Amino acid sequence: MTCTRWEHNVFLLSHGQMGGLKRIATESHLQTCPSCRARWARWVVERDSLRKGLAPLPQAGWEENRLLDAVGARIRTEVREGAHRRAGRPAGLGRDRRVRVGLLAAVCVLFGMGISALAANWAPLFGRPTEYVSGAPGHGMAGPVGLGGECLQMLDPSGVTAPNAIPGPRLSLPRVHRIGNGAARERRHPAGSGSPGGHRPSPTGTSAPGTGLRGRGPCPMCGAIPCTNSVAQPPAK
Amino acid sequence: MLSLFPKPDPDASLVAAARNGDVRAFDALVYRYQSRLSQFVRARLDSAIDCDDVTQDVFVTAWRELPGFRGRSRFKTWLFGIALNHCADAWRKHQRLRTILGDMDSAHEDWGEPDRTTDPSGWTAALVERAELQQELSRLPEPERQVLELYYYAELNLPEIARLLDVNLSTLKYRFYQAHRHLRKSLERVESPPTPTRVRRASA
Repeated sequence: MTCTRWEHNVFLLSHGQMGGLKRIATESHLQTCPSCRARWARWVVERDSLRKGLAPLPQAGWEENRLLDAVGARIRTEVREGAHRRAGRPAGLGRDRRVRVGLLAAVCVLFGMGISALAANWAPLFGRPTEYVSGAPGHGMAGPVGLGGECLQMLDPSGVTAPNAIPGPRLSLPRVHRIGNGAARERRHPAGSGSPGGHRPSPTGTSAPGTGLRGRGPCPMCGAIPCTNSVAQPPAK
Repeated sequence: MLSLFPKPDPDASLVAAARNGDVRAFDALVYRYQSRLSQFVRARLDSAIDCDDVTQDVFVTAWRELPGFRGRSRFKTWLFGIALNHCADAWRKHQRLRTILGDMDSAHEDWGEPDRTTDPSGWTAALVERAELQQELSRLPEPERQVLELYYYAELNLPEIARLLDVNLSTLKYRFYQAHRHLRKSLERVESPPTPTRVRRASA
């Protein structure tokens, strides 16, 4: 490295803007090179005179106070305005954080909407005959029911799952008893099989195909006569 | 001197108090930096612009934005960053007015140079030297001038200036070096007035 190439480093060293290995190397070069040492001395002198020449002039007392008073007066006004502004928003939430919270809320709302839309679309996937479902309050209902013939009341009114409930995802759908269509029930749950899903055939034997239990006896699920929550099922094809 | 572990901000306690709404703490910060800041603003702006107004605006903006100051840099660096932006705004506004109203600053050029030789003390001479230095500084290209002003007026170090101006540190170091070389040349020209032969050559 020639001395011309050291010049930049010598300059930076004179301003104390060099560190690490470069600084050590430059200092060791300065010890051996008188011309670079002279350059370094010149830069130092110039640096000092520039610092002196560009240093702020001492201000008169009244001038200092003038600026200080003016800034102070404006700041105190700002404090009052700031207090009003802060009163309207939750404490500790900066602008960035508010934006983030807003975005998060928007994402949550969108996610919720998506989930509801998916839930609405799940019914056909599980084969639910939604056209026969009529809303009736007071009965819990859970799980998809494949073919007709089972009572959809998987939960009793106290909220406890019935022992013969069909396991499955719980959906928020109209609550009904759907009883009837013995053929379908027979097809799905052969007699004596003790299948875990659906209710067993009514002991009264009143479930004629296509008629349901409406007006014929106590509902085996809720005991009401007649059961206003039961609906007729279409005849099995 | 550069180091791996930067020194803690000497204004940290005052800044923390001012951030919590302590006006007196901010007064202390204003008192500490008003002189440097007004000098810096004056150096950056035209004499026709009211520098005191700009300086006040800088401090008021700093007060307003202080809750958002995260302490990633020193308070001083942050403050002079605000000052840079305010100076640029004031300059743009001034240029717009100048375009609309015409140049009003050239009126005093016909009055002639004031006679400075009658000053018995050296005070005026020192001021003249200072003014010449500032004038030569203002003639440098804007990027070089900006670096020197931040270095000498604001007393920021090169890494801080690089971060403030969003420039690579190596680039900034070279710019800093070039600025000094150019300033040295222009000051040498001022110190040694052109000889008649040089004038003749220049006019030819």
